[in-house]
Amino acid sequence: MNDEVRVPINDDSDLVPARAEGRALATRQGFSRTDATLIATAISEVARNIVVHVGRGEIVLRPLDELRRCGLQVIARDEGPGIRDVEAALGEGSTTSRGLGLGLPGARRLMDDFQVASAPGRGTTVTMVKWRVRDELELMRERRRRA
Amino acid sequence: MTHRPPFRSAYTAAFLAYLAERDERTLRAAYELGREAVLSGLGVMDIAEAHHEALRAGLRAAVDIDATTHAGRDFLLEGLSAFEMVQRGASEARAAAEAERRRAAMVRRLSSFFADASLALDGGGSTHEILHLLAEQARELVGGACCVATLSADGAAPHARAASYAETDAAWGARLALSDLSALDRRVPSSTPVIRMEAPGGAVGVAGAGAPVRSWLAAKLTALDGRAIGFVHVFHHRPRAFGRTDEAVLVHLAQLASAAVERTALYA
Repeated sequence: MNDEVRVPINDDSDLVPARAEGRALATRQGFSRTDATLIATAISEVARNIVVHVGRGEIVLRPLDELRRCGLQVIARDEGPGIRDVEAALGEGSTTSRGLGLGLPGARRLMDDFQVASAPGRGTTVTMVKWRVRDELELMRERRRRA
Repeated sequence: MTHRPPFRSAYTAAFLAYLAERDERTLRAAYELGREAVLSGLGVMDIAEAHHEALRAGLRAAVDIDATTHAGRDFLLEGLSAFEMVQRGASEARAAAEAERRRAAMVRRLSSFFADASLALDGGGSTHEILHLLAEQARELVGGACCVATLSADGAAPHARAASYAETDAAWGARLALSDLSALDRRVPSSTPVIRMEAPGGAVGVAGAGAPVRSWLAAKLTALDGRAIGFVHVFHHRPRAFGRTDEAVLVHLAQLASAAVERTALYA
């Protein structure tokens, strides 16, 4: 996909380009400043998860365009040991969030769609999407663009 | 909890660095400070204090007041984003606790319904009533699209069966209600009373179900001596429809229904 952006995550400093690319793409997709901040935060949390638990991976950012809504998809991928119990990792007692709701559970709450695919020894892929409903004017433009 | 001066100093230093060079690296510092504040037990009011102090420091040296206050807004948004996560988590936890309370109240009421049904004089009718009650309530309480409850003896074909499904899933539910579930019965482990299975990409195999079953949750009905006397299956066409709480609720309902069926047999 043309507009797709890939950010390798090898250490903590890579959170900065991941956040910057996410924020830029969110702004291009018409998200408000607040939503762009929440997207950058969710990206930080999943990227931090890679750095802390695996060491390396990548963040893929992809704009989504549907007729009535547009969005930003964030895929955080690593080839680490995988998560044995995904449900527990998304729960409040997870070690990364110290029960406070940061980490993966926090990222899940900031985004609209959130899925984790993982198995022991087969890495982890977190896919999350933030959506924005188009307003009437935008919808008219989008219809015209698609015609 | 009161703020800690080192946090205020760090916040001010980070904000001044952001004013000097407004990029993602310096903005990230606000997010990290907010995260640190959450982890160390500081509150939103501590951030407000720290931000006020930082903004005053920034404005003292400001050439462009508008630009400085806009930078202050961006920095504060980042600082508060970790609190937003926690706040949403707290709201979710409150909603979950409320749902749990409602569920517990309903299970208590059900307990007496099961007792009434099992003490009715007509044994066969009572058994059927218990199964109906189980299917209806299990579907509602765990949020299934369809629920089938059966009674059988020693692995034989069910001698009693009841089903419940949403009106919107009537065709699918009706087919499931009549499906042969014996293969699924056999998949409920003997060591645990419950099984949960997801098939997001494919489908849990149910012969004759028509539409695919993407989530399946089942519990065993057991007699006092441990024999399986039946099963309760809850299905959904959506993946990841059930969680651990649903497992616990279904096991509880299965236990209540098992006891009621046993009582019916005693008094029939």
